[in-house]
Amino acid sequence: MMRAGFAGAAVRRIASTLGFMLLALVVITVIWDLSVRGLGLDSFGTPTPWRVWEWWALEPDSAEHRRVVFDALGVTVRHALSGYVVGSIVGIGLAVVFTSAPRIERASLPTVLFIQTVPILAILPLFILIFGRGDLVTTAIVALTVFFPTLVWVSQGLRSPHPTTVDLFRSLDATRTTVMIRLRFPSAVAGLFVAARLAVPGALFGAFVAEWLATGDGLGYLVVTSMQAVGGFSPLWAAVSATTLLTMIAYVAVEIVEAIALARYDPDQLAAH
Amino acid sequence: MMAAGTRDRFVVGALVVGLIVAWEVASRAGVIDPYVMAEPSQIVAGLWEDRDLYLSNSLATLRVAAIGYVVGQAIALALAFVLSMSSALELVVTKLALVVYCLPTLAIAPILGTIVGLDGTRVAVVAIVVFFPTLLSTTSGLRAVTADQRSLVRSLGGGRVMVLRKIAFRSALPQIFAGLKLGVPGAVLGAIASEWLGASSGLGIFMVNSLAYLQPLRVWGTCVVLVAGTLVLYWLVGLADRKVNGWSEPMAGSTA
Repeated sequence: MMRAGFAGAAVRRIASTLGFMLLALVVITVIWDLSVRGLGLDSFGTPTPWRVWEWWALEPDSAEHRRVVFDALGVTVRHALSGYVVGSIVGIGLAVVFTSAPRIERASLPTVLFIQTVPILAILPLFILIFGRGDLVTTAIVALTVFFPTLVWVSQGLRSPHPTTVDLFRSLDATRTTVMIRLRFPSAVAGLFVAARLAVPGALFGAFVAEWLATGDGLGYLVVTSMQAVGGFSPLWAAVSATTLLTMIAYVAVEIVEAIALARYDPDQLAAH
Repeated sequence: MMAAGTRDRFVVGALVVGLIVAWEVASRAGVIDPYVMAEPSQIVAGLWEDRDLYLSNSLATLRVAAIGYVVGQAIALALAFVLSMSSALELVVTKLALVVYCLPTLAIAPILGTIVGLDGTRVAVVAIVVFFPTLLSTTSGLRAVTADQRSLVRSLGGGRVMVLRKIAFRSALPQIFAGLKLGVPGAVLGAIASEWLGASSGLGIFMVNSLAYLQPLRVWGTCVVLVAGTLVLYWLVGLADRKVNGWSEPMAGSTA
């Protein structure tokens, strides 16, 4: 049951994000065009936005060009998605465990913080050594990137119900499991999406970097190969643009799914942002 | 009788040590692949043997990370202070910065390279990575000035800048340092990743080359050096944080 006021707030917020992203896209494209022509970069082969558009849509080979980019995009999405699912499951699972057993949390916290202080992507070669160069390494990298924000924010959400509400549940003879499922989980939905705002772009970036170094497929690798510009840099810029647009679309998608989920589970949070 | 918290940490510590010992034994026995999972004792021996290499590469990475860190944090702080004067401007710039966050920094690096050269690009990558978290946490901290505090300064004849200098800045220091701390792993990551674009020295490129030349001991060794180095740097910033912010209550909304 969606209350009209809250739905309005959510729609306004999504529209505002979309609006700013489009504005930023326009600004960036203009700066891009002006710098290339103003700084004379086109003599180095740096394409203007129009040149990339020609490569994308107007040349006889354009359909083939588009296919290459979309194929790579699909691979990257697959990598990011599998890692996101694994990382979220682990993050949510640990959050539930930590909320149910504070002693385990206290003991594990230093280890968790330690893992997080080390930039995973920096020690990527080690992951390649251990996990090889296939889908396993990308899933591992992305999962590690996604897991910490998810753990932090879902824990926050699980703990947010007021103690008086918990007492109410207990007074009605609810078991701890019931409290967890009926009370804490809905409160954690908001937290999951706060984490998703960081984790989804993070997952895409992690997949991108893992592809760059390890797997030899996907948008990351496409950028690497197109850096050895055989026919000009248009493929490189197209691949970079595709990655950027993909991340933006994913972010907006998160906000939309969040609005739907919160409308169902936690309508008060819809207006709270 | 130890306190419960200390006892739990002791248990975890013992588990970690046990894990390392088990690793050593399993590797020697060939239970786990000794090529991939090199024995800890061999890793340590390798670290000592190649210490010159590790030192020179660490310094190369540290140089880029440090310069980029300072540049990025300075710009973020300056921008945050300017933005705190106008909440409309702050909203616009923050949302635009979000878009920059969506840009794959590593991918635009080759493009930057044609404009500012290789070294400049490496510093720029680090600066971009540390910039956004500090911008967010500083603007959030500066916003925490209460209406009462603002009225007080106004009643004593101060304008917006005075509010900023006298109150907002001090209140925001804990948040600023949170951003500074977060920037450390980011700076290390940016420096390492930028080396992959073609640097001659540095821990990042050293690790990649070691992998390519089939030297897993060096891959592990570099990993150890990186992790230890990042933790040390993080701890150093933490020290500064405690020194500067030791007086502040760790509660939101407290008045000075």
